[in-house]
Amino acid sequence: MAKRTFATSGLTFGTVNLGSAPVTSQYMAMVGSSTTQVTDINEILISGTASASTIGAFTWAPISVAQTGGASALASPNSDGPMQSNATPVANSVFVAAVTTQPTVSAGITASRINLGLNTFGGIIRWNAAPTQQYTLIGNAVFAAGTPVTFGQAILVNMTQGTGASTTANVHIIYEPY
Amino acid sequence: MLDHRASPGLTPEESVSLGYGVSASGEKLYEAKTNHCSHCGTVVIMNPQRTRERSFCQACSKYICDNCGVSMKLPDYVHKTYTQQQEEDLFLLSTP
Repeated sequence: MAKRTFATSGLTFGTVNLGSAPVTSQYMAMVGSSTTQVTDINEILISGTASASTIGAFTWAPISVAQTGGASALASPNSDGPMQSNATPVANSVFVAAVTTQPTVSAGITASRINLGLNTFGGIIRWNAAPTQQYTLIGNAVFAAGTPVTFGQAILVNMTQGTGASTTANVHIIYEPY
Repeated sequence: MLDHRASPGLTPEESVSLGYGVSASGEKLYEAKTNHCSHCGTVVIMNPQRTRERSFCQACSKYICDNCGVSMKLPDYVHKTYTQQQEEDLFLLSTP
């Protein structure tokens, strides 16, 4: 039970339509570690690394269709680890690539999304949740509309909607599974 | 926090398209208050130029988003906070 950081460097975030699956290694996805796992997303920071003015319409959104074939292990320079030495190892599944098909970004109108758009030519965006205002995943299932709305998987992508264009960025996501 | 001090930043059109409003455009540091809807959990960027009344739930004494504000006025509405929904969800998940 400790805060963890899921970080990627130099990923190219191609654009993806809501309701579609992104290309492999062009997203950051997270799945709860069990059916009862609660995960708070506390902070997302994106540093644009484009060499020319490019709008990145980044969004953090629930996943509506899970990946298949299993998640591929992270490879350097990407990483996921606790922010506290000697922490209890509760880790969610985090990945930027899946073996067979990639996860689908939910287009649900009741899906809660965090807007993280910026100009990736030198731009930086940091979303930091105030206490009690975290984005919370429960369980490890995909987004289900209804009452209550449930989701245990989420993904960071660059949306086609909102003038997004393919771009590069360094990202960290601070989260706490408990 | 949206830092475009070392970037060309966003045009007013791009800024609106991304959902920030024109005040985030240009080469500048933009910081905005966000609120968490007490009923659906969504995060909303507060528009400082809004003059219309914002939705508010007197039952939980917290801010709610416009969509939930409309839902709350429906005759068959059942009040349930985001935390209550999470607790119910956890209960359902942990019940064999």
